[in-house]
Amino acid sequence: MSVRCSWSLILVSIGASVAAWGDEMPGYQPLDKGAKAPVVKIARELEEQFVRRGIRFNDTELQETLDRVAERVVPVVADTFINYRVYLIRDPSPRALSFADGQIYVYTGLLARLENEAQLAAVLAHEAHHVAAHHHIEADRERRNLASVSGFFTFNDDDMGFGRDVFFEEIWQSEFTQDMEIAADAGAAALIGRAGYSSVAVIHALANMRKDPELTIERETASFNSSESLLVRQGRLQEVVSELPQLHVDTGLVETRPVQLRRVIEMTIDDYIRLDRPGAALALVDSLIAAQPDAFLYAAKGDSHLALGPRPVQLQQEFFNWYSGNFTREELYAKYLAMEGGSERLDFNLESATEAYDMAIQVDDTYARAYRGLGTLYYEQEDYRPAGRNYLKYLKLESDSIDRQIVLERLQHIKSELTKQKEASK
Amino acid sequence: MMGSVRYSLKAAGLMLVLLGSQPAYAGICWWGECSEMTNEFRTLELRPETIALLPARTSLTEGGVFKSENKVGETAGLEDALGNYLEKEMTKRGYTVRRLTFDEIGADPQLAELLNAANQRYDEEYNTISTFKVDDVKNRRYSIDEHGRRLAHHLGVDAVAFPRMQIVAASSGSKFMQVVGASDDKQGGINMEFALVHARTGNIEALFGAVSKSGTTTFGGISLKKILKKSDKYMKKIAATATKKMPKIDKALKPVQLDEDAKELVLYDAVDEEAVLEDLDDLLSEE
Repeated sequence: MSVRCSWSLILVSIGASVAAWGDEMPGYQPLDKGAKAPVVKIARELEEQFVRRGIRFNDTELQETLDRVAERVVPVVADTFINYRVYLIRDPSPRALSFADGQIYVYTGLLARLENEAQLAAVLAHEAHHVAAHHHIEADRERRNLASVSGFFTFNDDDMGFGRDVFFEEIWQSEFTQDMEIAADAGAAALIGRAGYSSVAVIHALANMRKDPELTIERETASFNSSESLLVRQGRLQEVVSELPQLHVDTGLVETRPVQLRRVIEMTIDDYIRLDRPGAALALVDSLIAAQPDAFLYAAKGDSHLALGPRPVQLQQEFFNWYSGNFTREELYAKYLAMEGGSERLDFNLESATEAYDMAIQVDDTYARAYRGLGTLYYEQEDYRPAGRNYLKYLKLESDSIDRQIVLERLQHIKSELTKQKEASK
Repeated sequence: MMGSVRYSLKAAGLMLVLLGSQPAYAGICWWGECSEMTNEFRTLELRPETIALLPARTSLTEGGVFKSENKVGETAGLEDALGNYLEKEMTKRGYTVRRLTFDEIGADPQLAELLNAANQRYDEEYNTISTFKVDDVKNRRYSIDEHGRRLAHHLGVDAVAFPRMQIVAASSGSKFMQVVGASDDKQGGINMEFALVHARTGNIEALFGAVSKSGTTTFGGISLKKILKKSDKYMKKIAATATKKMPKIDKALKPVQLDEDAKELVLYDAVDEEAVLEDLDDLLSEE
């Protein structure tokens, strides 16, 4: 039954896509008693919890952009329980999500990867289609039919949510089927086309989600639902979109919100490094550095290489399965080092980090973060003299830094080591 | 094709449920009370006097025979009640507790940033600890590094407590299955742990937890209705059980000297900035 429904949705969506340039748009039928669906009730509760726990990321100007783009693309629906509203979530994962009552959340990590406003429109339209076509409610019904199995997926720790709570599991239990994802992709192409954006932006948005060498999204997709990989979805969508005329590429997002967007990008890179995803951080830095070679990107490149240490940028799925939850970061470092080519990779990354920090200082010799990075790099190699010099410079440039105490402790250690060396040499 | 896969999944799921193997918890403690401490925590060297108690992170699930339903809205009251009782128990033992609320965190962006980073890092370690390796807390295996230390410094405390709670309530269907003997999994219970991360090390120096497994108190598990109706009672009990072996602060006692094994431990004392920086330039310029 559900499979038939889903295919009919695809046909409706693809048909609508082709007709997107006329007056007709996909008709979203209202759902009887939809307001009483459990997922609608839970959506309201989640909204309250998101506010209570400060999970939303607030930025007035970015919010204005989100609202403006959403207004252009979300479809008109007759369901009274649907009220579209868009928010940001602080999380470096390249993803977006929605709830049955019209809440749409874009992760900062996805926003950081989008190249233009049309791609943001594509993401919002994709989620809006899920809502308008009642995919959440349908997926929840499916889940309940399969509930004895879905119970095993209760604790999903793969999400990297900033401020993530265990109740996020509720969201992942409502994963859509591949039919629904295809329908939403096609629906998004139609919706953004109607709004005046180029439909090909849906494909580009999917391509950008795949720009993660650690492939977090791909792994999650493979592990926790029956959706096709992003690559397959991209291919399928190509067929739909190629039927449609393409408009200009809208670069509004980058042009109108450069400062805010830049902040989101920097935050995402730092979040990746902190979350032990230096490969993803490095990929994002590398995609930007040629166009904008500034001190932040060079220092972030240095931090990424330093964090990579002996690990390969791309880890095999089997390795992920093997280590997941079994070892601490320190233990994993030793394992990476013991892997074939580990010490060569460490040497390469230390050298690359040093070069990147030097470049940052070359661009801006007052950029404190680069000195801190160099200090840490030398400190970890027990090369105390350059470590001390760089740490001192960092403290002078960043007198009220949050980690002042930690750096001072290291300087204390450096001092004691150098004093020992001095005495030994007498 | 798709349909047949789904029916197979249904069948597999049903069989596993009938075998009584549906997991109820993903926590650290598995029965009664559990506590793990490093030697230095035990012997006062790293026993904190001031503790920042973070808001508990809670999941509440109504586990049935054929479905599991996550409850979201109901967690807020349980979290507040747990915080109240944990604060009370810690205070009773002589600790000075600074309890953080979501409102306080929301009003301080820097605190929110530090807290998010520390929470994430803690979750990463928690994932490893919960894979049956809680014993290694005493070996100081788990660390949240600078993130924990920065947060503790910002809050001006000796340690930060990270509480996590999972509650599974039994549906009437699952209770029935237990009564008729079709399942021996007594669903329903509360699992709560909190780890103490010390400001001087960034390590998890102690972990205390408790499990209130339903089968010990109510045949067939605790229902959601009952958990919510008697939430105060359950939270009081779980907090009291978890802190049962949490050592008291006795200011008359002096810390013992670290033993040989612990001497390699990097301990960060308060740094006298002037003393550190004095002559450092000269020392660094020497080759």
